[in-house]
Amino acid sequence: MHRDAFFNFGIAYGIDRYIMADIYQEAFLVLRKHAIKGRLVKVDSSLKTYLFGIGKRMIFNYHKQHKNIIPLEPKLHIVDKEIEEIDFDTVDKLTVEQKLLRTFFNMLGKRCQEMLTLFYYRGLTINEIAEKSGYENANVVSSQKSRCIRRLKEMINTRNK
Amino acid sequence: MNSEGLILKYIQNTLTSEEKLEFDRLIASDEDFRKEIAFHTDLKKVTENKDDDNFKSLLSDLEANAEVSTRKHYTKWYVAASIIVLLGLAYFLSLKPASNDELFTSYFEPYRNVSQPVVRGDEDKELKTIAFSAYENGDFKKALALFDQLLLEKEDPIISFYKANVFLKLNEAEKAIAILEKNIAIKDSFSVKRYWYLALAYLKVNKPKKSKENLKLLLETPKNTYKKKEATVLFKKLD
Repeated sequence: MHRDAFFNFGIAYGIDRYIMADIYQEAFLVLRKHAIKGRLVKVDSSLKTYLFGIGKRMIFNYHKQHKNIIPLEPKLHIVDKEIEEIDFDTVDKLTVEQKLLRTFFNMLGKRCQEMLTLFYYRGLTINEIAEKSGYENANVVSSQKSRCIRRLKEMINTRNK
Repeated sequence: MNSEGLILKYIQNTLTSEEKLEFDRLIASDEDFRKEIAFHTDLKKVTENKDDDNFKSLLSDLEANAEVSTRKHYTKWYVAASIIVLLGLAYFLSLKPASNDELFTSYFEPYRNVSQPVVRGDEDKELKTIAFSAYENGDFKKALALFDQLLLEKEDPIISFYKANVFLKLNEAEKAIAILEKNIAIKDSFSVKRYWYLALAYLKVNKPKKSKENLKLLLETPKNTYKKKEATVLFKKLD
């Protein structure tokens, strides 16, 4: 989506194509995160403008980090000035405990992983999960979810012994 | 509401203000509750992390396909160009990280003669013309002798620049460095070229730090396009 336009946008800011390819992916990742966290609800620009806004911020960050070797040219400021930069949180790295938890999480069955992701990250309610994943009813989801959590905790406790 | 319910609502950001009070009270007073919160918060983070990773690999796949489809438009030329480039690269670079000497070899070529155009069949065998003719024809020893003669008559930073190139070609990088360093402060159309060749010369004598300094000067020269791409790549390689 808008791939060529996005690349050209970056090139106008003096960013190499291969770096733009990374930024393009990162921008989509942030866009998706914002969608999941409900930050897009209040936005009134088009999806494209929003995506480019994230990209613009990333391009500036990139230049900031590499200011020693890449001179900013004055004309940069007039490129697409109508696109407003979109701010985003940087993602923290996992802590040691979280990494360990992730290892255990990967050992769970696919159904468990999917359900927990829907509940914890995507923020779906139990009813929504039942509907989306084809469970009989909300109770089944609840008990299944408890079982997944119990399984996770067992793995942690076994290891801690 | 029991504590488990509170935690789940907390995770999904749906606590009412009343529940929030209860939640805060438990946080302050109940050690086990705090541990539970930590577990569920970690789990939230882990699902986010894993979900992002899955999405990233999906994007990478899409990107790989996008690259392929863009390439198809130019397949014929692309293939032809790739073969040439690959042959060239294969010749210059082995798979192991290139040593500074190898980097020098892969980047260095004597600067082309733009100073004294040599016209075929030019009967006017002026000294300068003969010197540059030798330079163009790759007779660097002869060119060196003639450049020296010219420089004896008159100091000329451009001729010196070509002389430095000759030294580089003749594997006498130290002498090239001496000449280029001497003229480094001169601001003329050859300034940036001096940075470039000085960077290469320092590579040759295995002084990557000095080399990087000069690449940096080149890259920081406003509006310069000469060897900018090469310098950027080389700069990264020297990290």
